[in-house]
Amino acid sequence: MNKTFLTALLVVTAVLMVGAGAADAEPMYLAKQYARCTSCHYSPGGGGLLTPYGRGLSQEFSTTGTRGASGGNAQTAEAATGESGFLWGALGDRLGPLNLGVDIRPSHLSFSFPGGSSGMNLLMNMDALAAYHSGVWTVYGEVGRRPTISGGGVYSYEYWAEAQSESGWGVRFGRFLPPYGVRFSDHTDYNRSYLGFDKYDQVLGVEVSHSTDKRLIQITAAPGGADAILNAQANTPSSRAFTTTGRVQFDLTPKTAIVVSGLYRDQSQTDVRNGAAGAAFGFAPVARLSIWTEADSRMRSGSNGRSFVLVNETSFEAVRGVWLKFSPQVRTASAVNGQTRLLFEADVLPRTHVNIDASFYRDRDGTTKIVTHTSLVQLHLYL
Amino acid sequence: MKRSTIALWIAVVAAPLSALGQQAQLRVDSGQIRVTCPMTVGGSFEAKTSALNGSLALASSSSATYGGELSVDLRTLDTGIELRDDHLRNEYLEVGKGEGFATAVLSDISLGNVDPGSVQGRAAFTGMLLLHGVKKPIAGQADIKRSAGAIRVDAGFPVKLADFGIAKPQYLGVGVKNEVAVKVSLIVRSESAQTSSR
Repeated sequence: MNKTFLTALLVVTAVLMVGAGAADAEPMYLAKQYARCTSCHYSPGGGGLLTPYGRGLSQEFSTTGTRGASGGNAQTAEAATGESGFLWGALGDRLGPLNLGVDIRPSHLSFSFPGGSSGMNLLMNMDALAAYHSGVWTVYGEVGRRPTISGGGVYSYEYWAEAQSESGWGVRFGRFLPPYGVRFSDHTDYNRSYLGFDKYDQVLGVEVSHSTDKRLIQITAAPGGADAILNAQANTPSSRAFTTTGRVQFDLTPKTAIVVSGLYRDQSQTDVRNGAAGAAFGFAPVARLSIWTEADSRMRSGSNGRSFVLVNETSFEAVRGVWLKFSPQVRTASAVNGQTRLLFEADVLPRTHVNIDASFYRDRDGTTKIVTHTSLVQLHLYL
Repeated sequence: MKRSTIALWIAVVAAPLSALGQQAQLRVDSGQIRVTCPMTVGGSFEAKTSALNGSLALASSSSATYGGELSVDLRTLDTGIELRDDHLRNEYLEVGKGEGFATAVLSDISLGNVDPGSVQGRAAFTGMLLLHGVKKPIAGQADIKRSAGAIRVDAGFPVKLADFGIAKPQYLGVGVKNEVAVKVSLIVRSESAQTSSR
């Protein structure tokens, strides 16, 4: 393979690796008995703006957290105040049911491959997030930078409104990432990027959900009114297609969950008709350890046939606020020999609003036998 | 098998097997309480403790009704998160208010009109629960297993927080539903068996 082409390919891949969405979902908190995303996030699918409760927990889970001090009357508190609040609580409770957040991630990315290496400093995210919650209604939106590769400028890649009844029924409409499988925080994980649930793969659609103590059902239908913004420009082929997903989560215990998912996408200008089915199992055998494993089968019309994805994420809280993760990943395909990845990650949460994340990826392409090493260090400021 | 060996086996096994049906006092050897709290946003969390003590004694020869009590130190309930522990113990269970609040006490346990000498397997039970300074009847299911020297009981019953005057748990928009599930796992031994095993 031409070295210049290989370098360019790796640079593009590396750039696409960064730019994760705001305040990613963290399935590792199953170890803390949080099996549902909605405990801490507005989005039923996880990720994005934290709820006041999620903000409160971010302080509790940090290395310099509150150590059990309630900091007020738990029964009447409605908004995260003090350090865990928006802008360190500078606005007090003046925003009422409006919750705001700012997500900024300066990062350094370096990668090496046979015969070369490179690195770059990046400002991955600069997003503003808002949610208005009143009664059964939540209105949500995010505004950030559109990737340069897609034209740049300011762009809203997620916006929706949801009604959630006390009986557990919910309806959401707008643009959002359809729920499927386990939304690991790293959007480049094989079960996200290869199945079409990457950071910019939101769809414009409707989601119906039903939640009980032990089960969550989410069904999404999107007629094709939105697509991945990376190829959403007028003069490029559109990936718009009818998309539907189904996801069922069974909480066997507060620390054990099974997730079963299905996906169907109709043919678009950029892809053939395809679908996926998968199952995930997560459990926390001890208080500081969570283990998630997801296996998916992807079906495609035509010669590419069937491929499989297997992702494990094992997270261990070494000391309070310091998580170590190990994630082996495998992707197979009929047309190529597939890919393997070993991901090592250290996630340090020294204070509320400040995360430091260091990741090391070892990727091996089964066809070219090329092994690449990528290091990513992020300072995650979540104001 | 020698006759003396058989006699010894009968003595070891039969004594605890009949313990529930005798006047002998049964003391908690070990136990664990797990309280599953369903959350208003879906899912649940569990609070647990091993601080379970007490003893029981048959109060009636015609039915499996027991005197004595089982008590749990609520100050030791652990959910895995300090802030949640703090809220649970101090804001809602109000363990600092005194003895009737710091411990939960289960008494007047009855398995109904079953033979106390042979009851095992699944059985319905009733009792009185003192929690948060309020005493109320509870009812649930128990699974009783007898083995050499001990009786293992796995029991469960629902508790409605409002019935015991416990404020609706709520923190920053996330709450616990009114009904929680209590699971009790304990091993009891007759006082004589405990004494002889020491």
